[in-house]
Amino acid sequence: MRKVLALSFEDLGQRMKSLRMLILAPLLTLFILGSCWGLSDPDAVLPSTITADTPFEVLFLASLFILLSATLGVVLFGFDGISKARLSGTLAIELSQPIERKELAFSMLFSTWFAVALPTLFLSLVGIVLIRLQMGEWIAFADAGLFLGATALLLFWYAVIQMYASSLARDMGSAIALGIGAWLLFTMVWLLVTVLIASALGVESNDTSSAVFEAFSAKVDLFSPNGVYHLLLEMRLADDLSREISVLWVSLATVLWTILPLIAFIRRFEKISP
Amino acid sequence: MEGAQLLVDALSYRHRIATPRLSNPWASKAGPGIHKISFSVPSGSIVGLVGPNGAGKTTLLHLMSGLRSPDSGKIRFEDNEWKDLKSEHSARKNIGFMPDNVRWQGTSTPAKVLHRLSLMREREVGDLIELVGLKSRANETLDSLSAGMRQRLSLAAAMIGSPGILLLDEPFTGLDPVAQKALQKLLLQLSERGTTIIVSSHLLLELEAIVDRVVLLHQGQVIIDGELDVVRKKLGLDRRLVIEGGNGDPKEILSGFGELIEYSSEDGWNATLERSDGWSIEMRENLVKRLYEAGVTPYRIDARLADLAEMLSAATGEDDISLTVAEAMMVPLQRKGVEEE
Repeated sequence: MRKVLALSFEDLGQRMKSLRMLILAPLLTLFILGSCWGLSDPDAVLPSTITADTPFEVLFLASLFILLSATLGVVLFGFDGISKARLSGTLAIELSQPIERKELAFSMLFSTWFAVALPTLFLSLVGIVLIRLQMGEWIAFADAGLFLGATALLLFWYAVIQMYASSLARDMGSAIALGIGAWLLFTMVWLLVTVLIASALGVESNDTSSAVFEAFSAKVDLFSPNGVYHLLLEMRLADDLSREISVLWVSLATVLWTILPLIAFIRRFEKISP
Repeated sequence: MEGAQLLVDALSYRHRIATPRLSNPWASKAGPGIHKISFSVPSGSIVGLVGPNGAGKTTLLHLMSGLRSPDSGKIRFEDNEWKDLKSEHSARKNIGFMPDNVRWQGTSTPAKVLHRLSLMREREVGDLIELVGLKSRANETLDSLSAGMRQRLSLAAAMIGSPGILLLDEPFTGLDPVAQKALQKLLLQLSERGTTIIVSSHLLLELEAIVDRVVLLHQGQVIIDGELDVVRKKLGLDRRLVIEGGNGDPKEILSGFGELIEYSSEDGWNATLERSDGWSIEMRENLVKRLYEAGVTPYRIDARLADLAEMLSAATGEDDISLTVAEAMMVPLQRKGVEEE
C-alpha cells in the first residue's frame, strides 16, 4: 500500500499543476462555494418546490452542483488516465516494472480520484463555513460526515468508471466518447432512462413528482451512482423531502457500486496489453 | 547450452484479433504470433534479434518483459524458471525493457519520470540521467524533448536498478550518429559488466557492430541463431570472395574458379565469387596466378563477410543473393486448436 500511495501522490502532484486543474479549480470553486453561499442566503428566492431551510438541506441542494462539476472533473482527469499512457507507449514501460499490476491500477485510480476529491472536499468544508455564516448555525457533525463521505464515494465510483472506460479505449476519440458518454448517461439522461423504464413497466410517468413515480425512481436510482449518492443524502433529510426506499437497499447499492466496478477495473487492468 | 544465463524455451504466443459481430461483440480469432521460439543467451552477451517486419521480434520482447503471457513455453534465468513473467512481478526486477518509439509527453520532466519508475523498482535512479546524456535536460518538460532525447529517456528507464537483462526494442531509432555510437559504446560497457542484452533493430549496421550473437526470426519462428560466424557458416555465407582490379576483363577466368555472384567491368572490374567448399589459400594463389598470366592485375582480394542484411535475406529466402532456405525452416505457424476464418 505504501508503494501505491507513493505513486498516487507522485501523480497527484503532476495533476495539481496541470492545465486541467487550472480549468477545473475555478469551476469547482464557483459551483460549490457559489451554491452554498447563494442557497443559504436568507434573501434568496427559491422556487416553491425547493426547500432550503436547514444547513443540511442547503448542502443537499449544493450536491446537485457537485454532481455537475466534480463528476465532470473526474471525466476530465480520468478519460485518458490509461489510454494516453497506452497510446504513447509509456504504459508498456510501467507494466514491465517489478510491481503488481493490481498495485499499479490502484495507484492510477487513486491519483485520478484524489485529484478531484481533495479539492472538492476542501471546497465543501469551506461551503459549510459559508452556510454557517449565512444561516447562523452549523450543520450537524453526522450530516457533514455523511455529505463528505458520500461525495468522496461518488467521485470514487466515477473515477473507477472512467478508468475502466479508459482501459477499453485504444484511441483518443473512443476515450473521450466513453468518458463523456458515461458521464452524460448518469448526469444528464438518467431521468429519461427512468421514465422510459417506468413506461415500459406500466408505471405512471406523466407526473414525475407523483409519489408513485418518486418511489419507482428511487429504485431505478440504485442503478446509477448519482442516484445512490442522492439516496444516501436523502437518508438525513426530513421524511417529506426524501423518497421512500429501504436503507438496506441503499446500503447494499453503496457497497455494490464500490466493489463491483472496482473488481471489473482491476481484472481488466490485469489483462491489459500495451 | 551449458553456462547459459538466459534460456528461452519453446515460447509460443498468438495475438487475438477482435472480430466483433452483432451476435458477439467480444468475438476474436487467433492472429499472428510466435511459435516455439527457443534460444539461449550466455551471460554478458549482446544478442541481436533480427527479422523482417511482422517476424515477431516485439512480441517476443513483450513476452520476455512480462507484458504478455505466453500460451506455452518458459524462460529460465540463472536458477529460476518462469512460465509467465506477467504474473511474476518480482522476477521482473532482473529485466529492464525499452519499448519501441515511446512518445514521452506532458509537463513532467525526465527526472520526475525516472523518479516515478524508481518508486516502482524500489531502487535509486543514480547517475542514469547523466549516463544517457540528458543531464542538461533533466528538469525540462517532456514536450520539449526531441525524438532522440525521448529515446535516451526510454533507455534510462530500462536501466533503472541495473537489471541483469536488458531488452531493447529498436534502441537506435531516432538517435543521431554520435548518439548511436555512444549507445553502442554504452551497451558494450554494460555487456562487459555482465549485463545480458537483447536488442531488436532494423538498423543492421549499428547492430552488427555490437552483437555477439544473432537470432534470426521469420514468420514468428527462429530460423537460425548463434554467433555471427557460426550463422554465416550455417547459411553458407562464408564462401564468398571479393576481387577487384583495374585492367582487363577477366570474367571468363573468374567463372572458372567459382560461381560469379556479381560482376562489373565499368571503371575497372570487380566481382564476387562463391565456392561451395570455401576459399583455401592455395585456391586464392591459383586464381591470382591465372589472372597475372592473362595480363590482368588484381589489386584487392578479400574473403567477404556477409552482413546481417545478407544473413537475413539468406535465412528468409526473400532475396536470391544466397542459398535457398530449407523448407523445414519455413513451415507456417502451427494452428493452436483454433480454426482460422
